[in-house]
Amino acid sequence: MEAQYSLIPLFILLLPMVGFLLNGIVLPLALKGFGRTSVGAAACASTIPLATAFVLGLVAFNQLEYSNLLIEPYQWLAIGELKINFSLKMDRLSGLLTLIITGIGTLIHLFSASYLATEKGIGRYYTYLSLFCFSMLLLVLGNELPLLFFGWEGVGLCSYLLIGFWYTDTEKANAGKKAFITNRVGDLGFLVGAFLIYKMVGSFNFDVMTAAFADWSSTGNFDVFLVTATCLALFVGATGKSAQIPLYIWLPDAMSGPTPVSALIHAATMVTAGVYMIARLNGLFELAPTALTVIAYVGAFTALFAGTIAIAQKDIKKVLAYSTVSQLGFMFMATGVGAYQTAVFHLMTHAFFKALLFLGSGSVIHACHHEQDMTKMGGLKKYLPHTHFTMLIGSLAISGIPFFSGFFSKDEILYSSIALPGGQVFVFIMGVLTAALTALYTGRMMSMTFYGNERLDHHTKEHLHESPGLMLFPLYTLAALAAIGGLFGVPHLLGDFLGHLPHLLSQWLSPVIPIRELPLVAVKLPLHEGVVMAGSSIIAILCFTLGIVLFKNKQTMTQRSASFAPIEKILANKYYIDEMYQLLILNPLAKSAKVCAEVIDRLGIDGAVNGVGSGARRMSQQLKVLQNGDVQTAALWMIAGTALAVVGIIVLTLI
Amino acid sequence: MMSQAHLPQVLALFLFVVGMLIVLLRRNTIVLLMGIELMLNAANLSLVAFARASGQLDGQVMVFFVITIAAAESAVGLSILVNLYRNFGSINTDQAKTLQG
Amino acid sequence: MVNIIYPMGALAVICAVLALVMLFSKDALTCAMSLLGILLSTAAIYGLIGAHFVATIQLVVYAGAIMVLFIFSIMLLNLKKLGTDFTLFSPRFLIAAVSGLSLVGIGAWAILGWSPVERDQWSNDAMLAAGGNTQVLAHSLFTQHGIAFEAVSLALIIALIGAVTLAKRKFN
Repeated sequence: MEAQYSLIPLFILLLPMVGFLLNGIVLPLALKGFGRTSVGAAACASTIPLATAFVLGLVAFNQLEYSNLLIEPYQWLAIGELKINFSLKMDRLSGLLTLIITGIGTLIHLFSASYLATEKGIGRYYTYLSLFCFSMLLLVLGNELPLLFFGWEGVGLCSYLLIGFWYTDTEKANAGKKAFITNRVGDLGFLVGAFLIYKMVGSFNFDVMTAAFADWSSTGNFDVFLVTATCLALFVGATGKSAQIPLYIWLPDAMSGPTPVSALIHAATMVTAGVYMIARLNGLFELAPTALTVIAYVGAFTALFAGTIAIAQKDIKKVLAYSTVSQLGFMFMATGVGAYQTAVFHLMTHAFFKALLFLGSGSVIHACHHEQDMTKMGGLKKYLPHTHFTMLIGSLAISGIPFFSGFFSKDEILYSSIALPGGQVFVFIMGVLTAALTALYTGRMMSMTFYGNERLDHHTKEHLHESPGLMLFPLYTLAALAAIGGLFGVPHLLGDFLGHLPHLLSQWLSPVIPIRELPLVAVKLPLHEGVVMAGSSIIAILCFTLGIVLFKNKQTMTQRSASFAPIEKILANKYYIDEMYQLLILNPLAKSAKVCAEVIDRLGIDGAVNGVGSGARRMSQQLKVLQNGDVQTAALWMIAGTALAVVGIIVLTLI
Repeated sequence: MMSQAHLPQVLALFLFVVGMLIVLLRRNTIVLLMGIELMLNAANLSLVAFARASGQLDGQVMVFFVITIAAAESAVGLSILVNLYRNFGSINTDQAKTLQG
Repeated sequence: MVNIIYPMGALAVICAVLALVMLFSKDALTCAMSLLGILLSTAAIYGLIGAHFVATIQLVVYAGAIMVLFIFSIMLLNLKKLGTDFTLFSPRFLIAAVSGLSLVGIGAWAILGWSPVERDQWSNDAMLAAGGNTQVLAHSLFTQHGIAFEAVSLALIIALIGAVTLAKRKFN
C-alpha cells in the first residue's frame, strides 16, 4: 500500500509525552515539589492527551483504508553506511494496535483516578503511565527496528517503574527489578536478531526489510541457517517481553504493582509487543519453518504449563497473571503455525477481556479493602452486582464460550494449528487441554469470588460497597468490547451462514500480513472446522460450569479430595521454578560476582594499581639516600661513570 | 720503552688522576683547592711537552695564560674558602650539606 | 748531549711520590709542602725540555705566589689536624681508585702508541739561533696573541676585585 505524508502519527506519539512532561516536570515545578499533585489534576494531565490521541487514532484509522501514513521528521543516526531515520509509519497493523493502546489506555487512566484516589504519589504514577504509553506507541509506530527497540526498552523501563511503584516495600521493589532484569536477558536475544537482520538486509527500515523478505521468498536466495538463527534470537527477545518459557517468571511477581498497571501493561499492551514484532516481521519468520515450529511448541507448552499453575493459585491477581502467560502462549502458538493474523486477532480480544478481568479484580480488591486472597472472599455477587456482571462477561470471553470474542479468536487458533501447513497435531492437543484448563480455572475464580458462602472477615464486610462510577465506566466499555469484539473475525463457516459476513480483521490486515485461507477440513488431522468449533465450545461450557460448581464451596483441589494434595502443592508453588532458577543460575552468578569483586578486582586490579604507587614510593625511599647534598660524592659517581664509559668503548671497539 | 717524548705525558696523566682523587676524596677544602691546582699543573705539563715534541710555540703560549688564570682562580677560591669558614665554622666539606635531598 | 731521560725520570718519580703523599697526608701543611715540591720538579722538567720561559713563570707565579697564598690561608685559619679525612679502602676510595687507575691505564696505553711528529720548525737549535726561547715566545705573545694577552690582564684585574669583595667582612 502506498504511504502518504501525514502529521498524525507524530501527534499520536507525542501526546502521551505531553502528559509525561506535564505530570513529571510542569506540575511539580508549579506546585513546588513532587508528590503534591492532586489526583484530579494528575489524571487530567495524562488522560486528556491520551484521549486526544485515541480520537486522532480513529481519524487515522479512517485514512488507513486508502493509504498508510508516514512521517520522517529527521535523521537520527548516520554512521558510514548505517542510516537510521526517525520515521513513524501507521499502517493497518500499527493502526489497530494504536487504537488498542490509546483506547484501553484511556479507560485505564480513568479507572486509576478512582482506584488510586488516596495515593499520594499519584503524580509519579501518571508520569510513568504516560511515559509507558509513549514508549508503547513508539514501539508500534516506529518504522525502523531501532525505534521499535527504543520503545521495547522504554516499556521495560516503565514496567519496572510501575511494578515497583510502592518501592518502600522491598518485595515490590524486588519484583520490579526481576521484571527489568529478565526483560534485559531477553533483549540480548532481540539485539542479536536485529544485528543479524542488518547483516542480511543492510537496513533497519521495515519497508526495505519487507521488500527483501518478499524477494528472498520468491527467489529462494537466502541463508536458511542465518535466517533461522535470527528468528530464534528474536523469539528469545519475545520470550522475555511476552513472558514465555523460560523468561516468564517476572509476570506473576509483577502483580505487586497497582492493579490498573497490571491491566494495561501486563494484559493489553506491553506483553503483546513480542507478538507484534513477530507479526510485523512475518515475512522473515515465514522463511524459517524450523524456528516457527520451535515457537509453536514453546507457546503451546507455556500455555499448558501456566494453565496448570493457575488452577492452584489463591490470589486473584496471580490467577489472572498465569492466565495471561497462558493466553500469550496461545498467541505464540498461532504465530508458530503461521496464522499471524489470528495471533493479532487474539491479541485484540485478549486485550479486551484480560484488561476487563484485571480491572474487575481491581474493583473487587478495592471493595474488599485490598484483600487479594480468594479464600477470604465469596458470595460477593449481591454486594458487587456491576463488577460481577462485567467480570462474568470477561470470564465467558476468556473461556471461549460462543459467541463472545474469545471464542472466535481461540477457535481460529486451535483450528489453524491443524489446518495450516505449518501446524502440528501435538500443539493442537496441548491447545485443547489449555482451553479446557482456562475455562476451569476461570470458573473457579468466579466461583470463589462471587458465589458460594461468604468467607469475608467481619471488618471487610462492613465496608463492602460497589465501586464508584468512574471505575464502572471502563468495566462496562470493556465488557461491551469483550462481548462483541469477536465479530471482527467471523470465520467463513459461520460468516456464510449469517449472510456473507467477511472475516473483517484478516481482510483489514491483508496488506501487512498475507491472508491464510483455512480449508474446511483440516490437513493435519482430518477434522471439519465445524467439528472443531463445536467440540471446543462444548469443552469450554462444560469446564466453565465444572469450575463454578466444583469450587463453589471447596476452594482448593485438596479440599475436594485429599489425594490431590501433593500435586496441588507443586502447582501452588509454581513447580518451584523460581527456586530452581535461584539455585542453578542466580547463586552461581552471585558467587562468581563475589569472586570477581573480591579477588580479581580488589586483589588483582587494585593491587596492581596500588602496587605501582607503593612500589614507586619504596623505590624512591631507597634511592633517596643517594642525594646527601655531598658534591664530592656526585662528582665521584660522575668520574666513575666516565671511566666506565671509556673502558667500555675501548673494550667494545677492541672486541 | 718510554722515550723522552712519552714520559712527561705519562707523568702528567698520573698527576692529573691523583689530583682528581684528591678532589673527590679529601674532606679538607684547602687540600681540595690544592688538588685543583695539581690538576691544572698536570695539564700544563702535558701541553708544554706536546709543544716541545712537535716544535711548536702555541702550547707554551697557552700554558702562559693558563698559569695566569690559575693564579686568579686560586685567589678567588681562597676568598670563597674564607667565606665558607665564616658561615659554617669549619672547612670540612661534610658541613656544606644544605642541598641534602 | 746528555740524555735527559735520566734526570727526567728521577724528577718524575719524585713528582709521583709527592703526589701520593699529598693524597694520603692528613696534615694540610704537609700537603702544601708536597704541592710545592711537585711544582718545583715540574719547573725543572720544563727547563730540561727547553721551555725556559714557562719554567721561570712556573717558579715565579705558581710556586712563588700561589703557594704562598695557600700557606698564608692555612696559617690564617689556624687549622688543627683534621680527623680521618677518608677511610682507606672504604667503598668511596675503592671506586675512585679503580676509576682513576683505569683512566691512567687507558691513557698510558693510548700515549705509548703515539710518536711525535715534527709540525713546526722550533727545535732547540732553531730557537737558540733565533735568540733563545724567551725571545721567540715573547715575539709570538705580543704579536699573534696580543689580544689574548690583554684579555688575560683584564681577567686578572677582575679576579683581584672579586677576591677582595668576597673576602671582605660584611658590614650589616
